[in-house]
Amino acid sequence: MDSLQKRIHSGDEKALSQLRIEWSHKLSVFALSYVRCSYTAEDLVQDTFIKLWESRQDINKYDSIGAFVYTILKNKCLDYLKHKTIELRYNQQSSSEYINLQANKYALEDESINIITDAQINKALTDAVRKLPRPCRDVFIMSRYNGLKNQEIANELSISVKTVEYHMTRAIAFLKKEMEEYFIFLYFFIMH
Amino acid sequence: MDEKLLIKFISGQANLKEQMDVLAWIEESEANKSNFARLKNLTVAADLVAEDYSKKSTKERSVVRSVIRWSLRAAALLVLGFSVFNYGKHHEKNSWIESSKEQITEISAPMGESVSLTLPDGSTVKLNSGSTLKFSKLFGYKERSVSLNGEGYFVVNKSNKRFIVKTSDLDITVLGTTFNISAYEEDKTISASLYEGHIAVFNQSLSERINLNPNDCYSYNKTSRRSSVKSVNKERDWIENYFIADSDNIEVFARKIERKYKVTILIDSALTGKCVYTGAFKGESLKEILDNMALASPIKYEIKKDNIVRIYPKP
Repeated sequence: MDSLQKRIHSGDEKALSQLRIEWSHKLSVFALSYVRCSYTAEDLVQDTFIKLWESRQDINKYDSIGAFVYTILKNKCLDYLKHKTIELRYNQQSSSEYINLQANKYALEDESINIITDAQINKALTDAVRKLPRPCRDVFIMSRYNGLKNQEIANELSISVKTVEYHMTRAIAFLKKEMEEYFIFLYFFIMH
Repeated sequence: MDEKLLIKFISGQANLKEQMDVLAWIEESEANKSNFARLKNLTVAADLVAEDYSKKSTKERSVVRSVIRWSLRAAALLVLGFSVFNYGKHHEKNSWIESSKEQITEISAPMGESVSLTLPDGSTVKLNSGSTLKFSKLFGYKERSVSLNGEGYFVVNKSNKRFIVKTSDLDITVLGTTFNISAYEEDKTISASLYEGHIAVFNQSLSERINLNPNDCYSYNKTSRRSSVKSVNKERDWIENYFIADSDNIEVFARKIERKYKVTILIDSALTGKCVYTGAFKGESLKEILDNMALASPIKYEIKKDNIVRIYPKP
């Protein structure tokens, strides 16, 4: 077991600060991907650290700190999405926001969410991204990391929007294929 | 269902019709739900990995920066003023949590003063007295959003990322590059007026989205729950009569009301430490404030003779 985990378990507040410094940004990115609102994402991440500290005696039940932290955050995001989608539906909202949040709620409820919490899977994914062929990787990173629209990426790389969409599709398909072989050895796999 | 379309949806590039189709497909079966979920979760996992990767590779970042076209001309002016009444939970916070202020930046202008600040993207905001602006450290990551309570005068820089001002009832999104918005609170009314350019106003309470054109003024009355779009008026003067609550617990808030309205308020002991109020009020009557409290928090009130008000928990 990781020493940071041990220190948190024993109540070391400095370890908590360190944890927050290391994990805050990633957790915010995770939360934002599902709740689609920076405010809410920040609140949920803060609540996660509070909850983590309050239940630190349970930290040993998890393989890694990542698993513990992400599990708490995932549950908080899910609770938020459950309430928000009901609220949006009550107000007769057949909008983009409702659709996206509802879809994200289904995603969080699915077992495949463990892809994020499992450290080994994550390592495999990192290797897969590194393996992406060059134009695909650029498109993928510009789209995912910076939230650029396809047209903007097309302009920057001097290619057509159709080509950009093609590269994105290829990138995700590539990652899926890379991870598939890995997943066959695990308890779930991504279907075609 | 075309996997390309799912990827488009997950990447936020699908239009509304496509989004509706995707959701309909997802909800058709558990298998579809699962397929979607796996793709979505894989994408988020890859996002997190891509981030690490991006941090290591500065070349990627400079490629991206050149795509973002900046213009530092004063591109837009946005002024909002309104009265917001929130019911907030009271958190017990340990000392270490105070550093959570790193995550959300909160800036307030004290009574009688205004405060100017610059946002991470170079946009500036001037906050009128008694106003608060909040933004998270994710500001500028995929969008630029701030939360405003009170009145603020914004100069927004042009950027590919949309700028959103959130208030309790309205979300105002900057669409155009040059626009001038002036909005002020009038009793229970929130309004946004546009002088040039285009903005979109999203009203959460009414679930409506209105695009404003120049010389339009969008007005929303929180009590009657009606909105209208009219021709723009001349700017009104800020009324002197001002009354602020800032995360006040119910006793503190009640004392402020007592002083202002010359009444005595009796609070049921069951409510001690239960409710927290934040808001700004101008010219409301005592009954209007109490009605607002009853709407926003689980209380009921009774106005008795000799200027006595009783507040007790909602049964």
